[in-house]
Amino acid sequence: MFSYLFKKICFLLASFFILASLTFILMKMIPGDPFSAEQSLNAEAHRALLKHHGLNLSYLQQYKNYISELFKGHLGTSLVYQNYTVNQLIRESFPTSAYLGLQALLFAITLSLILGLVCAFRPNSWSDHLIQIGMALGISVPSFILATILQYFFSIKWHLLPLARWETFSHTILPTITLAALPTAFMTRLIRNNLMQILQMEYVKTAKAKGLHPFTILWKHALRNALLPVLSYLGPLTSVLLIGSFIVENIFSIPGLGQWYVKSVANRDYSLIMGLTLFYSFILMTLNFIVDIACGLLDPRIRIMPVEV
Amino acid sequence: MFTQLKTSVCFVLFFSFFGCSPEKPITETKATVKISTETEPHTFDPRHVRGLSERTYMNSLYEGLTRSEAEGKIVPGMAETYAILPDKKTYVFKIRKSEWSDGQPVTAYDFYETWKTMLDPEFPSPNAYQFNVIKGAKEAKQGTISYAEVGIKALDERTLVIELEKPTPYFLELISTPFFYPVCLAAREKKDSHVAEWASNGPFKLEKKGNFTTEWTMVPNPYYWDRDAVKVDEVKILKLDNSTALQLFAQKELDWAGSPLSTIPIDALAYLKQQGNLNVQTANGVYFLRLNTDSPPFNNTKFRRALAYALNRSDLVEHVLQGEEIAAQRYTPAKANVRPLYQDNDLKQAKQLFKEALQEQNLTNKELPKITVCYANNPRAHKIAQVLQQQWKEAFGLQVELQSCEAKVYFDHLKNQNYQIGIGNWFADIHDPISFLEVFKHKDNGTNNTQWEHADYIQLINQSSEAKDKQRELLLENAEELLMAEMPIIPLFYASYKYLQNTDLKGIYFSELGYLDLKYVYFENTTAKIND
Repeated sequence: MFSYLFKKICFLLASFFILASLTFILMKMIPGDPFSAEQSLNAEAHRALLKHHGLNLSYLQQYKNYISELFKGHLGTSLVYQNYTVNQLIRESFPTSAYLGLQALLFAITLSLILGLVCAFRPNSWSDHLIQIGMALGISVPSFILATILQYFFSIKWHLLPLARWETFSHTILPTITLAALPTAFMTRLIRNNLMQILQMEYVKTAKAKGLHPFTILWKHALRNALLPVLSYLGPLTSVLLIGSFIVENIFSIPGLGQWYVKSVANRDYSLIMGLTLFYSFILMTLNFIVDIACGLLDPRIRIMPVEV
Repeated sequence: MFTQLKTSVCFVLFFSFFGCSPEKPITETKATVKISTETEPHTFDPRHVRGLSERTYMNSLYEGLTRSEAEGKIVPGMAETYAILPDKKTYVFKIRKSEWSDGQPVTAYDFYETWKTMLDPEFPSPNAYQFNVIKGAKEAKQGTISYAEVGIKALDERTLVIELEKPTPYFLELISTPFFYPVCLAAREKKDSHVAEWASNGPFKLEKKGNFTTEWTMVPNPYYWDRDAVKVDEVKILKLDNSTALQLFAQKELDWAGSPLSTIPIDALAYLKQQGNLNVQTANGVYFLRLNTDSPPFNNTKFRRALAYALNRSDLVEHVLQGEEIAAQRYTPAKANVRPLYQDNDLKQAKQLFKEALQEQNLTNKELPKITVCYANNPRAHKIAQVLQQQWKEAFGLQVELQSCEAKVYFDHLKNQNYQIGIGNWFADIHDPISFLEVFKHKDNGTNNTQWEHADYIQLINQSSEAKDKQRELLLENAEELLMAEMPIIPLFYASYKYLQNTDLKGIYFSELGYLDLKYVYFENTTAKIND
């Protein structure tokens, strides 16, 4: 077990290092200068800025400096937003994104589980058709359209919920629904299809024949297997939700992390691009690792650790 | 039915369970001005200010030796009095008794030390060149002389003497800009403190409240010398999506939306104008086309002028932009109505010049290659480019290609002269025309980018710096006439700021230099606002 964990951690660190190197190379390949603007700097000021941020050094030296700072846990200072270090930006913005993401995740899991069960138990019924239509819409309607529709009805027309901003719980409802729509739709279909297949399997029929209670069959035998694909999907989904969405955060004016991804690239804010990429990859890899272990626990047939012969 | 009920119950339970609020709702009991912004301020340190968007914060948090108030009137700020010696180059400022927001006195040494950092060759200040009017400042920034040799002297805590290179008529306005504001000791010494903890010397101070990446709160500075003039309890600047800001303004949750901190979407302008809600302020800025004068056929003056004269700017302003911009018939806005330097939509002359330009280059209309208009990708620039495309096609049968680029890529194209025509703008820091004209003095000036440089133009600008009053004005006028005869840039229109303002909000001054002066702001109907 320990050797497995050790190997896994080594693999994560190596991936992390490769990712940092690739991001650095790609970032330097994009045309554009972090300090260029319509009203340009004079040459002296430009030189001073490059020197101040160490961008006048060779790429190799910049890379070495970055990696050595990374080992100390410093992600650097934003080149554009001089009030913040990258660590500060993450510290200030991540809790908001994480709160919203977790809320959306729990909402999506709960709702998709309920809807998936309803569909699987009564396939081709009117409720199944209705939910399927809803899920098709959830998958196909882009979040910015859904957000605008929700804002129009719930805030502008009916004055039930706040339009935007991040203040009270009521402010979180519309962004939660917007963010949860796609994963809810996807997971509902996944649960429905898996559950329908499993309910037709021999071992479920045997259980029925033995006179087991339908709830026991569902809970102990069917659902557990039906949830396995959902669990694999949950790793990347959770990381995406936790890290925040540029569109949802922008429309609802939420002070999350998602908005900084797009801005950092548009501004060529090198340290911010690097910092956020590494932070995102750290969350993604960690969650995937947890999902791997959870899959093994849920299904003993899945061996996450090598079996010694 | 049961399933439906179960779903509803789960939904309700879910929200009840997770119903813990991220923050408790706050009951509004203060006179708070709420303003929307579309971008985060890049800095709160006046020495690093570069764009227009930070100027509102700077003007509220800091105060220079002088202060620019309504209608551009220059009044004493931190300097209680000042004297200009007969040589017109030496200014003696008496600093008034005032304190930083942490209670420490503001002294002449604060100015002296702040400016010392600005002129440090290693200090990355984008606007240190603004100090070049001060004796020795340019050399100090280049590292060739020490700061002690610069014409800035703090004689004692209350006396600051500044010696200029040459008499500079706009100097008192120049020192009212953020580039000349003092910063507190913690900022100067780069102590590891959060920017919100830095003391400021202006009417307001920054308060760390809420999320500092989307909400910035300024409260009155209790130690400000003119504290009684500040009437509101706080100013909140909220980062909002532009369309969301419009909706929140409609719901009376904002007091100000639009310029200078955000943009009203171009598609909403007509509706807002029709409703009578749109306010417009003229801007000290101009939109123009940069022409790469190294790239044929733009190396031909007649060709450049033909393109300029053929444009129907009034049409562009009235039907496309719809924001009360003014068609530009010269480069600088100051004398726009008094003395146009060319006629808008002068098709007759444009066609004649176009014909002559082709003859000079031994080209026929058919042999003329496609020309490309390059611009930073945004809806406004795209609409402008489409109008240019159509108008030049109608006037000369020109094939015009549009090249929309990501902003940073576009700036790269300009810098590397990898363009033919680029859409650009210039917003001046002060009201003086020199602020516009100096941009095109040298081709290696970062913002010029046209590759145009003219010995006579340089001479006229240089002579103007030695001349006084009317003579200076005449020299600058001659320089602009030359610029418009050579046409390395084609002026399009003078910019305007569009905004929505709560009608109860009074005392706010929107400078045409692109910032809000919030010092005297108040609500006419205070009780209504407090109980909001």
